[in-house]
Amino acid sequence: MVLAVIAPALHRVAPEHTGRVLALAVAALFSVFALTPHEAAPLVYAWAPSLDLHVSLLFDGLGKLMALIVSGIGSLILLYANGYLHGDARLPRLYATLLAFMGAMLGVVLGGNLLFIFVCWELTSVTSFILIGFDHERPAARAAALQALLVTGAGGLCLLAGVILLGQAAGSYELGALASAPGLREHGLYVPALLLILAGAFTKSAQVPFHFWLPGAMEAPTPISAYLHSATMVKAGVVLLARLNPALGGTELWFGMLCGFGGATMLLGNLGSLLLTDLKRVLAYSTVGMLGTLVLLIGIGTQAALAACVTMLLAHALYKGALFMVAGGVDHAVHTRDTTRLSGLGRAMPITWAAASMAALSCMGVLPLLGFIAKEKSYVAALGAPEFALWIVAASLVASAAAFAMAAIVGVRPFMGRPMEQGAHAHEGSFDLWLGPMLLGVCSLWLGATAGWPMAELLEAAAGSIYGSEFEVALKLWAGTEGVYGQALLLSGATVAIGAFLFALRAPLRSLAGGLSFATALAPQRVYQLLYDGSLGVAAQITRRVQNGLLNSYVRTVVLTLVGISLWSLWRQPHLVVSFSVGEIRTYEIGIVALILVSCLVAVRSESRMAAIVALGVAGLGVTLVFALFSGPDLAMTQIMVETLTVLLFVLVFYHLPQYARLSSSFERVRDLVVSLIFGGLMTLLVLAASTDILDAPLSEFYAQNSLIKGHGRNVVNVILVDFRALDTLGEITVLAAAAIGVVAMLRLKPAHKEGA
Amino acid sequence: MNSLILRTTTGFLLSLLVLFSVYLMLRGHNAPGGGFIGGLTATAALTLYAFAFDVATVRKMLRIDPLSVAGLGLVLALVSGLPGMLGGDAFLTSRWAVLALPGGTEIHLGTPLLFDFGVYLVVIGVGCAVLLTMAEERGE
Repeated sequence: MVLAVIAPALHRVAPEHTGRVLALAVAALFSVFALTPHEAAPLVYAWAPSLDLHVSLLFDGLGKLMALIVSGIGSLILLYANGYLHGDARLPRLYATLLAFMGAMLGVVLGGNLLFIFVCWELTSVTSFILIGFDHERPAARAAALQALLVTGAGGLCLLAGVILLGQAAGSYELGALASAPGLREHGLYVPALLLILAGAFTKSAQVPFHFWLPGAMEAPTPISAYLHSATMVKAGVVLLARLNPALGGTELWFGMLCGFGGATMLLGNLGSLLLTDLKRVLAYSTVGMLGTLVLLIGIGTQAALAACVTMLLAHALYKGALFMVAGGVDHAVHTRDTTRLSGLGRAMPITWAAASMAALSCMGVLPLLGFIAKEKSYVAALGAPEFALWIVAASLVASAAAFAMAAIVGVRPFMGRPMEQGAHAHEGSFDLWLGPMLLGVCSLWLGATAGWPMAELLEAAAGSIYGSEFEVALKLWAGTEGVYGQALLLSGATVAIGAFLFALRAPLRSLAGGLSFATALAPQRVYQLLYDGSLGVAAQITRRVQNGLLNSYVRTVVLTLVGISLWSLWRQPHLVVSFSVGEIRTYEIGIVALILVSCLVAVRSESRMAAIVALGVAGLGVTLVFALFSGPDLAMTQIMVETLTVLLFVLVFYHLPQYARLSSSFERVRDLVVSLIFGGLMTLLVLAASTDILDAPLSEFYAQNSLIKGHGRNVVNVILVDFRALDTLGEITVLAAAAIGVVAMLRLKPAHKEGA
Repeated sequence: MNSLILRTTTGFLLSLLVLFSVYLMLRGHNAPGGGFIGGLTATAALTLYAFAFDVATVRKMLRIDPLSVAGLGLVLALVSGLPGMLGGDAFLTSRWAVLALPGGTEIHLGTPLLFDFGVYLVVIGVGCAVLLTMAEERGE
């Protein structure tokens, strides 16, 4: 976060190397994370204790794993962006937003308090919006950004509601307290809270039917797609589910929802990816599929499933990040991302080729890469699912086979075969461009070949923190052929066979299934568009109805609302006594009242505007007299000044008004009369009620007694205004000043409007 | 308006009225008056001047834009709340200092006075901004 602020400044100093320097800084952060041992107890700083809102950081296994992914891939992405958008004037903005996002994302993965997680969660949505709309001059990018923001934003609101319900049910927002809260799953609020939280997590992690925003988000430049929309942000939903598993998991509903939606997403994403030809969109759909797999695994919730989940999480972050960067590099070199046209680039881009192959092989789940271990684990998990094991295994098989074919299309095919026409200009990108995918690819290979060393222990801890207690995760490259492991190996073999088959048939598949399945895949998108247009239409209607531009109706609305609210609160007063006990009446009092009444009548009945204004002034001065006589000198003085200035204002406005005329129908006049009488009646009632004793008498006594002692003043009214209740006064003068700005702006704008018309 | 009598008297009246408005503001803590009333008085005085001469003259005399006066007032009111906060109390908690003048007179100076001065300026600024702009409109 701190880096986000200094990034633009740094760019001015050293435009060539900003990305590299920032990458180093983030890499330093990465090593700090790597060297810090994980622990289960959170670090807590109070932020707003009264809301049970603490900044508590939970650096446990899962937190550390995700922090390593976020900062590690983040540093490579910064480097990559340096090469990808070389010389672009908007680069500093990109760095700043990326780093801000990184900070927020670290907050999500390390947060130990649900409210804190929510705040960071929303921050990632906002920065993601800015990043997707990075090319804000293109309408497509703007639309995609808005779509992503609206979908994840709506999900975020659901999440907030769910989190609050959960907090109500459990009495705390701390994850640790939630996990140990007794009877949470039987609580009446459990179902609504769970459903709302799932809505939030599913929108963020692009689960069916909210998956459509993620392929749209590919409008962003590739570094952003690689970082936000494959490796980190979209995993926020998965991380949240993983975090809440100890507290909420283990019920029928949890299992059903997660497995159902996760499984559907897994199938749709992986199969959908085969039907597209744009490199980045293919990868996006496959990411959707992978997110589905992760959700499914959390839903299964057995030890084997969670072990598979964390392994898959790491493997996916490594290979998908690499594949995205490769896609960007290819796009950079030959200016196309069409998979049907890309071929034979291997010779021109050997390093990228190598990186792509490693990533693709890991994605295919081929021995000896990390992807293989992850896939084996997930098959074991599927075989061990408590219910519907057969279905889950079948779905996983189809999905993995599709992923195999997808990886072949994206990671292998473009580099093999005859060199394409544009291939002549193909060249290896700069060091910045290939270092990232290369490192990630090597990691996939290394972690696979060494069976997870040095990450195995961390993965075990991560799986343990999802499960709720530590258990053994045996990461083995070759688990043997006995029992479930044998079956899993068999399934892997089937995967390769079906995958190769799908790959061979990709072109006919595309033409055969293209039209049909796209209609269904895009249906949610159409619903979104309908809702979007609909809400804009409704908003326009409401605005037309409410803001109709008639002062008369505004005043009526305000007055009636005020009357309604006041009467309601008076009604609820338990001891409302209104008495008409009047003391001695003096002659001059009758005179003043008569003066006020007569001038009011004149103001209402007058046919001349000037006469009405003067009559109103007289009524106001009559009120002033009342104040002066009943020992309210401050009020009287204020009233005199206000009356004077009001009459002045009226006179000034007067010149702008058209000729006096009767415009309103008699119905409207009667209606206005009734409204006025009601309002007058209410004010009378209020005055009478105030003069009897519903007000707290000790309060005014307190002011009277303390005015001189504590306020150094003998004028109680003034001391109240500028000392006891100074904050109120400050608010009032602020409103006053804001109103003046509005009035002046309106008056000054009018001539320009006239000229335009 | 083109009245020689009005113009001549307004010249005297303006200074008297503004002086009176300051007096009203200062005495407000112990007797009827205060920033709000003082500000209104000053606004009325300036408006009178605008009627007697014209708006441009008043604007020239004020030198700064009325809205800036209002802004300055808001800042003063805000600043007056800071000493209390720096002393560890809530925002806007009052602070007083007693100045002993030779001759046995004591002057109580406190942050509420500054606050009231802020109110005074805001009222003048807002009043003048609205009235003067409207008067200009009328002239066109």
